Amino acid sequence: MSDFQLVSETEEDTVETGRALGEVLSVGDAVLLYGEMGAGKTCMTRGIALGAECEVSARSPTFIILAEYPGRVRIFHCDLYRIIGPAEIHELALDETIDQGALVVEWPENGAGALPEDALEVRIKMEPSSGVRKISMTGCGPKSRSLLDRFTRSAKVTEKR
Amino acid sequence: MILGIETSCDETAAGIVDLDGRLIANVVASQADIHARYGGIVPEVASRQHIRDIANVVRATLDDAELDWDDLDAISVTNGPGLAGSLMVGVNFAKGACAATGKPMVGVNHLVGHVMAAFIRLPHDTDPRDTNKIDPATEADSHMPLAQALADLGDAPAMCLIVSGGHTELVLAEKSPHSLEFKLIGETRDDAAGEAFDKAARTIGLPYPGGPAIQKAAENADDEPEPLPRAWLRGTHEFSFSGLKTAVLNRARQEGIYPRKDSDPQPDQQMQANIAKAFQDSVVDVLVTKTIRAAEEFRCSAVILVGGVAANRPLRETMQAESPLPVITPPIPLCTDNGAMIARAGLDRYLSDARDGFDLDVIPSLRIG
Repeated sequence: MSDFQLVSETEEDTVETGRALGEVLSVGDAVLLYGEMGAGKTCMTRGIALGAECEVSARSPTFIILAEYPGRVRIFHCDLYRIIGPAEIHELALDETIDQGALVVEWPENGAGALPEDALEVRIKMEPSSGVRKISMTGCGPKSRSLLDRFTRSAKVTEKR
Repeated sequence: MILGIETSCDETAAGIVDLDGRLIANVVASQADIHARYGGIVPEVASRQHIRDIANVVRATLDDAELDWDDLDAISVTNGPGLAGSLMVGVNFAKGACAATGKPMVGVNHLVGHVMAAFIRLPHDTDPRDTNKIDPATEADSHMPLAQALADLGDAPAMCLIVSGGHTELVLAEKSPHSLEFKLIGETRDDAAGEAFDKAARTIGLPYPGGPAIQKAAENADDEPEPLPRAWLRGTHEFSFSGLKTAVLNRARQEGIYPRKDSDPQPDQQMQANIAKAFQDSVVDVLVTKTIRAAEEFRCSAVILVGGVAANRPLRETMQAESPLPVITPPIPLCTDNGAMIARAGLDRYLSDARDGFDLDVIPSLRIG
């Protein structure tokens, strides 16, 4: 069950969806991005960083695992693609990052049990034939539901619906 | 003698160059001989691996060089970019060593280290540049001052392609009195080239690391497999590999090898080889074409090809074949992360009297230029 759904037809759409989310993001928010390889997770994070007025543009942090983008809200961009299990995640001290900014996690399924419980779950599903992406969002606690509420109220998203 | 320490990502590495930039020793922890010599293990967590290996790696480096701490002029260490916890191991080790020995410490940008790997002089009995176009290392008098290696480039700048698992950057290198000054010209908007290799390999059922696996598989491909797209991003010096990654995924899905369960039969090797070659051709074509175009636009005298992906044979060969300018690329062991390149970059800073204090911090998102 998802609380909110939209369709992204192009890469730009995905970036714009991210941007709208980034614009309403505040310190302490956590966003978990689910979706297979090539679905557009990094693309959406690039939008989130733009929306959060980060000066450095977001790119895939698969290799360094955790990247940091200073902005209106500091974005911690984490990619768990190479992580083997929850024990390794404690090394990243993600709970400390969330006190200083907002956390965006790619491949959160690799960190099950070691990530914030109150997080906005974003699932990006790709239609292989058309390239269209279905994006669904679920708030898993009071903080993330409030984030989703701010997101859905924002003008850009209303237009898209 | 300069000791270089590198722990920015997965490799625990140390190396030594002399004050002429000549390679004296180079040890990387993933090498099996370290494990044999000191009984090291390969743990899962990068920073823990560094903690376990760093002292032995440095000891092995000094042993290989037949040097003692007293013989060193300075200790250089990577302080960014990289994974914070991993960088801290190297930086703290360097601080401890400097505190104990009284040697000066210089912090080094990992990306500058990659570029400077192209300027490491090798023992004369080895092929220094893996190229017959330019060869400052062997052509230069062995007693020639350090600046000579740079002088061989001429006065015009060089265009550097730094291409690895975490980076894809085009950087203009201009000469300064003791070294090079860098200016970022373009970079990837999404995935690094090496990361694209890893992910493409995984998608078509080839092992990690993806670079060598794809290169090997591609050797058995048909001559002209159905091509995959190229992202040119015309009018910019930027790169993008996420579209190619998706194209590999779609091709693999059409062929029925993705998604794949462990119980499924092994994918057809010829089909794997053809996708691997089409992927590699696309990456190489874009990297080579855009690097040469940028080099011409900025009126460069040479192309410098460095970083882990510069170990890819077709990339090296195509760059050599297509570039009207000399191509300088380090031998393969100095392309992937290593300590000698950090020592070589540290040497320039040492000679220009740069010193870092015990307040040297790690900078995980440090940039170049």
